[in-house]
Amino acid sequence: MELFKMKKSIDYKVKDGKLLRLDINIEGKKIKKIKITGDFFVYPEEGIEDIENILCGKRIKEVEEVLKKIQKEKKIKFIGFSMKDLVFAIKSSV
Amino acid sequence: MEECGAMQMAIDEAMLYARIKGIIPNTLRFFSWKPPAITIGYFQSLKKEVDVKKAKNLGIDVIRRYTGGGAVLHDKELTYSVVMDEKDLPTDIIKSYQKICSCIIYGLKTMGLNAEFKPINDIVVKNKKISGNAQTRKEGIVLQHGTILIDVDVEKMFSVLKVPNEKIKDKLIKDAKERVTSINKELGKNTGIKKLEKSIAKGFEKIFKIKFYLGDLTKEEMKLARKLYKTKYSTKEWNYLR
Repeated sequence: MELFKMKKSIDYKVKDGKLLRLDINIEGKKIKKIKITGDFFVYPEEGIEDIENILCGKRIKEVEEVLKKIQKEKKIKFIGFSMKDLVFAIKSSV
Repeated sequence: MEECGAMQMAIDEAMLYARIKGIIPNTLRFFSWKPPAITIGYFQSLKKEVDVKKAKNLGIDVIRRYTGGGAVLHDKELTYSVVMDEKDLPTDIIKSYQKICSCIIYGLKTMGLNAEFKPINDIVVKNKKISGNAQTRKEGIVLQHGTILIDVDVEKMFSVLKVPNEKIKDKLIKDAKERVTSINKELGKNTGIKKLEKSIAKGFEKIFKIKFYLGDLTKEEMKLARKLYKTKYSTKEWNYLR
């Protein structure tokens, strides 16, 4: 059976916030690769790479749980978007 | 201070580390951009945000910042950077932006401009953006830098910055002209940069109840800045990082 593969770029403008730009590769039901760019702020800045790395290989339905865990673990703060916005943007890309 | 954009960003980071090491006190620095430069936020994709070829043809440098936020064309503006102890600022990040921005606002008000803070990180006059600001925090020290537009050329800005949808570019230019302003436009006359610097420095003195003394960058800061310029801000690895 051939695996469902998809490469997508989406822009998601957060209301009263910043622009989330996602480049996402999906294979089957899993994220193969994700790049989150935009004019937002993340503290500490390296938190964005931690998030991108941890999402690789995860199923879309796991995204929220995985993000919440890493945010707590690494004490990552988002300015210009919320966790809800990021989860929504990722889910709406598939 | 006249240095190229990559060096300016290297100096800002060097100031941050010098403050972390306790080599320098809380410090405010002013500078301008010669040649003009585009900086992009740490999290932005250079390829998505900037027409690099066009910028190069126009003699505009392109540099990734250490701080987040959006892409900016730095041309006729005054730029400030400040490094200070986190303890001197509210813990809440947006409130800390507001506190530093209130110093700029104080300065702009003394020049006759009714400036206001607009969350997350902007200063507006009559609801039009006149200043954008960005900060990073490392080891208990905050670096915030920002632009104060003296004059603005929206067409030039859009000729080098990419827009998500080319089809609506004309509308975006029209909107930006209505959303962005400058000191010269608001005051209807040319503004001296020294006067602006003095007004803003006074704003910091009033808001933080401090007194500045004038100084130059230390040898350590210059040494580190040159290293950061060479190994980071002038490299493709850094500028195309994301």
